[in-house]
Amino acid sequence: MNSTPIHSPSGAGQTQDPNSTSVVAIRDLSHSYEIATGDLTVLSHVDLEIERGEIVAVTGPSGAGKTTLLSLMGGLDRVQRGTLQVCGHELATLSGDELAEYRRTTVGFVFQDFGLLPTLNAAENIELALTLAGVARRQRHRRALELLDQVGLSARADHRPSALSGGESQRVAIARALANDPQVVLADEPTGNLDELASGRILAMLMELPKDRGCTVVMVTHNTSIARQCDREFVLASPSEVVS
Amino acid sequence: MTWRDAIRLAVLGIGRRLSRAVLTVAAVMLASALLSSLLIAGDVARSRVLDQVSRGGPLSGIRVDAAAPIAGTLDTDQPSRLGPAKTIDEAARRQIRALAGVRSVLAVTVQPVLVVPPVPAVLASAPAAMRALPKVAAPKEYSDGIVGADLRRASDLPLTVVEGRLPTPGSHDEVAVTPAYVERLGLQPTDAQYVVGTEIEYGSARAVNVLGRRNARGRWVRALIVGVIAQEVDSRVQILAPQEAVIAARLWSTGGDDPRIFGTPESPYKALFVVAQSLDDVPKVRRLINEVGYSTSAPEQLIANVKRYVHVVEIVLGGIGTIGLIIAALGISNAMLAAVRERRREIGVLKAIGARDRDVRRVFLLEAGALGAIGGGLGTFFGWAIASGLAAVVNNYLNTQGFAGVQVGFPIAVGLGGVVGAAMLALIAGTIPAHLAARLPARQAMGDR
Repeated sequence: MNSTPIHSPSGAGQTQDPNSTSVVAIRDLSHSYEIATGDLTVLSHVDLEIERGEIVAVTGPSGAGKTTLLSLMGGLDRVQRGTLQVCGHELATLSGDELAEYRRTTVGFVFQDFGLLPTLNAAENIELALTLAGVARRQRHRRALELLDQVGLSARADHRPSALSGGESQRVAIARALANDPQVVLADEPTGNLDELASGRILAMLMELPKDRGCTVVMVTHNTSIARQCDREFVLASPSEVVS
Repeated sequence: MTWRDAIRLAVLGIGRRLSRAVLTVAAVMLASALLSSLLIAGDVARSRVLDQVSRGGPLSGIRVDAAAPIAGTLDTDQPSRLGPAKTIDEAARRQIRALAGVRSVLAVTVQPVLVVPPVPAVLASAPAAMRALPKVAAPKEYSDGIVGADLRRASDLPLTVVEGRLPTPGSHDEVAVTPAYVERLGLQPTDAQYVVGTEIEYGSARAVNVLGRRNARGRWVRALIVGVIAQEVDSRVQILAPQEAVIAARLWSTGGDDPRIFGTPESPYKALFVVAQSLDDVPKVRRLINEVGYSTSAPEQLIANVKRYVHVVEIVLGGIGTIGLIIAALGISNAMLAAVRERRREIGVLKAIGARDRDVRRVFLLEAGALGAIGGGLGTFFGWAIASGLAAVVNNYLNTQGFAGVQVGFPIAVGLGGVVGAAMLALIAGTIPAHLAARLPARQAMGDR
C-alpha cells in the first residue's frame, strides 16, 4: 500500500495537469445538508485525484462524509461547490438524464446492504442494469449468466436475494455493478455486513478488478486492515476538516 | 427501459405487496361494481320503461287505424276518437310504405272467430285445485277475434312475450294468447305457464244461402298455445296467430254470401304498424299518413318525456357511482404513496444503476393503472352480476303482476368504460405518487440521511 498522503487540506488551488491520467479529479469540493438547525457541512474543500486502475480506500470517522463523497462521485447527489470530474465528465454540469446515463455506463455501485431488488432473482437483478442500458433481452440474459459464473454463482441464478447468503448477495451486487463494464467501481462498506470469510472473498474480487478489467475502485471502509490492502488510503477526518 | 420491462417491474412490484394490492383492487372493484350496477340498472330501467311505453315495439312505431283522422288529434299521443271507418287495403299499405321517413310497414289483420278452449283448459301438470276451477274444468266457447301479423318481423311489432314464445311464422297450428285469455279461465297472470302447451280450437264462419235459408258453415283449426303475450290489440282480441293463418280464416269468411253477418271487417287490414326511421321522424311521418287520410297514434311525446327523465336519473346514478370511484382512486393514491415511502431505497438503487426519472415514473404509473384496470374489470363484472341479481328479484315481482320481466344485458360501453375509466382514474390517482417516486434523489440508494 502506498502510505503517502494523497491529499492535503491545503490542496485548494491545485490545478489538474492537462496530461494527467486521472480518472477522478476533485477540486475544492464542499457539500452540506439542510437540517433543522441550519446547514450541516459534511465535506469541506476536498481535493482528490485518482489514477486509472487504482484502488483507493476512503476512510474516516462516522459523519466525516465518506458516503457523501461516494454519492457525489457516483452522480447520486448534486455537486454544490467545487468541481468533480470522473472519466472526463464534469458532474456539476450534467442534466438529470445525463447523470442517469453516467451512472448506467461509467460507474458501478456496490452497497453495504447489497441493494438487490427482492422481487428479482440473482440473474434478473443483474439483467436489470443491462435492461436500463438498453441491452437486448437475450443478450442481457447471457451476459448475466456469464457474470454470475465469474463470481462463482452460476448455480444460484434463479435464487432470489432472500435465498442467498450475505456473501453471495454481495457477489451478485458486484456482478451487477460490472454488468455495463464501468470504468469506476464505487463500493460503500462492501464488507460491512459480512463475516470474515465472505469479507475476504469479496475483498479479493474487488482487488482483482483493476487487473482483470482495468477498473478503478473507490471503496469506503471503516476497516483499517482493508484500507491498508488498497493502493492508497484517503482519510476524511471530520465534517469540517479534511486530512489525509 | 422499454415498456415491456417497465410492465414486468410493475407486476413484480404489485406481487411483492400482494395483500395491499388486493385491498386496493377490492376498493376499486367495489366502487366500480357500484357504478356499473347503477348504470346497468339505469339502462335496464330506461329500456323497460320505454318498452312499456312503446308496448314492446320500436320507439318510433306508429299505429295506423282503418279510420280517417280527426282534426286536432295529430299533436296528441293517443287520439281520443277516430274518424269514419276507412279501408286499409294493399294499395294504401304501399302508399304509406312509400312515404318519406318510413322504415317499415306491417299490416295487422283481425278476423272474428269462435274459440273453444280445451277441457280442462290447463296442462295436466297444473295443481289439482286449479284444474278443479269451474272455468278451467268446463270452459265455455266464446266469440273472439284472432289477430294476425307478419311474425317474421316480430321485432318491429309492439309485442312482449310473457311466457313461452311467439308462434312460428307461417304456421297454421300455433297461436299465442293474451293475459285476458288466462283471466277468462279464472286464473291469475302468474298461472300463464299452465296454459302454454294446451290446444284450442277456433272457427271462422261463412254465411251460405241454401234454398233461401241462411246457414253458417265453419272452418275449424286446432292450434297449440305456444306463448302468452302482454299486449292486446283490442279488448276483444285475445289470440295472436301468424298472418297466413288469419288470412286463410278471413278468405273462408269472405268467400260466403255476406261476410258482414259474422262481423268480418270490410277492410282487409285492421291496422298498420308503421316504423319511422327514427323517433325524430315520427311527427313528420304521422303528418304524412294523416294527409293520406288515416288516423294515427304514437306515444312519441310520452317517449320523449320519459327519455328526458330517465336521462336525469342516469346522471344522478352515474354521479353516485363516480363518487365511489373517486374515493377508490384516493385509496389507490394512498396505497401508492405508502409504496413510494416504503420503496425509497429500492427507487434509489434503481436510479443508482441508471434508471431515469421517467423510468421510475413509468413503473409506478403502470402499477397504479394495473390496479385500477384489474379492479375496474372485476368491479364491472360484479356490477353486472349485482344488476342481474336485482333483475331476478324485479322479474319475480313483475311476473306476479302479470308483466314481462326485464332482461339485463352486458352493455359493452359500460364494460369498456369500467375497465378503461377505472384505469384512467387510477393513473390520475397515481400521478402524484409516481411523480414523487421519480423525483426521489438517487442518493436514497445510500439510505435515508
